Amino acid sequence: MDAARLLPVAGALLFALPLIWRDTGTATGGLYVFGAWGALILAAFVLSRRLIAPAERDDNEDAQGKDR
Amino acid sequence: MLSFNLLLAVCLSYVAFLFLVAFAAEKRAARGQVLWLRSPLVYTLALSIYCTGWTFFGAVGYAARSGLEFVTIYLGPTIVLVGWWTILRKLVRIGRTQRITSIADLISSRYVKSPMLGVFVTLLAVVAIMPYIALQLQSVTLGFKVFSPGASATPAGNLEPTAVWVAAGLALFTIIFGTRNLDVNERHHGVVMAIAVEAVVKLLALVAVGLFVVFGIAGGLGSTIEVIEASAIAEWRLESDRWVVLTFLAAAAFLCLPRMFHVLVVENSNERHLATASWAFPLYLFLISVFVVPIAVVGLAIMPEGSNPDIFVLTVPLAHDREGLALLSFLGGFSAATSMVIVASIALSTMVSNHVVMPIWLKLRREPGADPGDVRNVVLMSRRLTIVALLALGFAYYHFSGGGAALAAMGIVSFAGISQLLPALVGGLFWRGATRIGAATGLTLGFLIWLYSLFLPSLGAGLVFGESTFNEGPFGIALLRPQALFGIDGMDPIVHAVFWSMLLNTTGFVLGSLLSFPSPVERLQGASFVNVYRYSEAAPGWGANLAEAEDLLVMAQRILGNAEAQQLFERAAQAQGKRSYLPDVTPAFLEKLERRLAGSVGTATAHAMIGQLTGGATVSVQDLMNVADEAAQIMEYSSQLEAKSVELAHTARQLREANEKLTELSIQKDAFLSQISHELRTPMTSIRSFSEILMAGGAMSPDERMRYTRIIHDETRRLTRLLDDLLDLSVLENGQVSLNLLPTRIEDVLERALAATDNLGIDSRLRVRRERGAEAIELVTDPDRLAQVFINVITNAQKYCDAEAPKLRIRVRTGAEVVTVDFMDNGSGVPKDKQSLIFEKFARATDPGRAGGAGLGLAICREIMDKLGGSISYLPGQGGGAFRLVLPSRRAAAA
Repeated sequence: MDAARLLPVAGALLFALPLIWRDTGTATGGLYVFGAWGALILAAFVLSRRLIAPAERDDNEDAQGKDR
Repeated sequence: MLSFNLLLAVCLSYVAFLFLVAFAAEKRAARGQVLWLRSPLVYTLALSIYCTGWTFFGAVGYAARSGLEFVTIYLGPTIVLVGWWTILRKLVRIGRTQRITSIADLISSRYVKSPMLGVFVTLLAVVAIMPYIALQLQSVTLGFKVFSPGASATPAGNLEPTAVWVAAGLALFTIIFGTRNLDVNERHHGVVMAIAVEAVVKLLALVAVGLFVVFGIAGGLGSTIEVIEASAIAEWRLESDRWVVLTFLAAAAFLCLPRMFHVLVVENSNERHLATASWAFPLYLFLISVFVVPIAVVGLAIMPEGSNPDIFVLTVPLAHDREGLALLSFLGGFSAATSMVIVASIALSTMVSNHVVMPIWLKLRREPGADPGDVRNVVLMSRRLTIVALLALGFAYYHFSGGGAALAAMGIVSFAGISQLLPALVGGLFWRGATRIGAATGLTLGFLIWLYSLFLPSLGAGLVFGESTFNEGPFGIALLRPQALFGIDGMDPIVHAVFWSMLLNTTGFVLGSLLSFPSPVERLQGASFVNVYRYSEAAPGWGANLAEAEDLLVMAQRILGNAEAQQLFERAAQAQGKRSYLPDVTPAFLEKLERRLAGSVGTATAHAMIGQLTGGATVSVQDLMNVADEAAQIMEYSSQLEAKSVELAHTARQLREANEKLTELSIQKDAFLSQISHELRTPMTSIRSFSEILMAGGAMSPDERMRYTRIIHDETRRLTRLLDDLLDLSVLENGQVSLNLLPTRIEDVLERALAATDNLGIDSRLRVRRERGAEAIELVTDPDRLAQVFINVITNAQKYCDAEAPKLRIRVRTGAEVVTVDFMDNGSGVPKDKQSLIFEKFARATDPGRAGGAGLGLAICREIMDKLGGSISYLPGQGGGAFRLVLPSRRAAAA
């Protein structure tokens, strides 16, 4: 959960990084931005799986409880 | 070249297809098959209404003008979604527990259903959205222009007729789409489904164009990068202030835009969909923007100088005679624009109808003579009118801004305006101390500065502000120049406006909150928002602005009971001519229901409950006080009832005892009558027979005559004694006795009584033991009457004590307030079952013949002791018959 809270901060830092660059081309900069973007999406994907896994387990247990 | 008519036909059939999709989705939803419609995929795709005509057409134009800066618009939302756990999850949870219908509803709910705040937020949203709708009109109009005959020759001014048609068409389309039915939760399955389809279309179209550009024109990835390096935007010229501000603006707008809020919160059916959207929507944004730069650079390279980069996605395929691709691309842009207009209009019209029209209408309705009408019709009509008005406003902005501005620039004006809601929104979610005053102050300041420094200047010089205002400030006040407030010059206009508006907005919000004092209800509401996870397990609150008959029924059932509530609703439905069990929620019905509920829970409570459900009224502290008062009254009343019922039970018990006593007395009276006639009859019989013998004369000895005469005499005496006793008793019972109270020594009275009993000449084997030391007590009483009681008790002992050597012990004790005199013999005593009867008239413990008394003695004793202020009682457990006489000793003290 703490990771989920930190992820947007990490994203903001990643996207702020190009600000301090000098003498870079749009192509390289673009590749960096989209690369960072992709990494962020991947991290969010992994995290979201982990975050909802406990909730889903609870739900399943609830359903089983009702069946019983 | 594609003909304009063909294009129109394609558009219309596409719209018809969307209608079919929406219709099918609603059919499925009506049948309860919402599983697929409510999947995280559809939710994520629906979120893509963030990508409008601005994204589809404008992003390429933006990239062609300012390079990579365009991505900020997508990086902001990416950060928000990646951080869903912190803000979005809370927002969605609150939206569900409070039944929020729009962002205006959320803010006005957080700050205690403040109607003014709701109206203000609505107004702000409407004004802020104008450039945005204008943007869509412009993008679609530009698209049509590309395909219209003689495109290049047409000057921009002639676009306006097309724009009018586009606006009218979009209005009609939205009205048919979004206001066909009135769903209380403001959820629209059909619309969401259609938007999801449009999301797919626009993504496919843009990706198709992108692939064509990269692989078809540029010739692969590597050469694309070369083209970029060689292009006009190859230079890395990031303006760091704009980069940061725009990222922030996009993130803020993503949360605050009414249409985004609608899809994110109102249409959300499951919090877990957020988890999917947290990576899937950034991925969508990634895909949609990844080809933007290639398209822009290729467009810049191959299109003639001065052509509009906003329509490169159309003109580049057309330049290569790819008409099919251009058509798909046009449909993508059309999808992007229409879906934005539809959802934005639905969200805004909901806000307008719930926060502006309904309150006014409800107020007017209260006026006497006003037609009650139907809430639904008013709501639907107001929403339709709002949609038309919104598109008209959008067109007006388009008209006044000249239709020549870059698409992205128009969108950013909107973003900056709607972002003014952010401090009140986020503050309301995370800060309990945020108050209505603070929110209103911040919003007002932010809105005014945005209007002054960004919105009005965006209309261009000459319309509201003249050139001189820009250059020298209004009335020559340099400090108030719209794009250089407070003398700070040289900032980018956007950065300048966002900086000042957000700074003053936040400052006003914080200071206003700190300096004002929240009302109790506001504190409660603040807590329920900030701590939503703690409270959300409880029953959902009623925040819907239109009460659903079902909600009302659920509430009424809790109060009135199931059968009665259902009957009430059914009858109301019949009265309205409906066949179902649920009536329409008309004011008349609400009034009726409120009256009915008031009968059960009190007026204030009923009013507050209905008010909560209908959203027409605010639960004020006054309402809560009334509720508390009513509750207190009810509690007092019930405690009174309880006391009364205890009293009643007590009285009933007394009555029952009295009744038992009366029955007993009646039996006693009968027994008394038969007893007395028997007692009188026996001596009379013997007197009569012996006197008859004497009258007959005949031969009899003087001894015999003497004996007979004595019998007659004895019997007469017995009769006299009996009658004396009866008289005595009757006098005593009627209270006509006069007591002769004198200071008396118990010892003297006992002496007299014992002397008298000795003289009676009955069997005096009885030996009396006394405690003379204790008997020397003086008290004020009637000595003759007391002696009578003593004689009676002693005589009883003489008569009934069945011991071999009968003994009587007389014991006198002095207590604090009473003197007790106990008479205890050593006989067998009175059997337990008779102990309660011996003081009754004619009651005799043993068979009547033996004692020869009439059984009135102890009854007389009891009456006398009563009169003397004392009592006589049988004292069980003393090893024989025992009586206790209690006399008050206070009289002696008083004497």
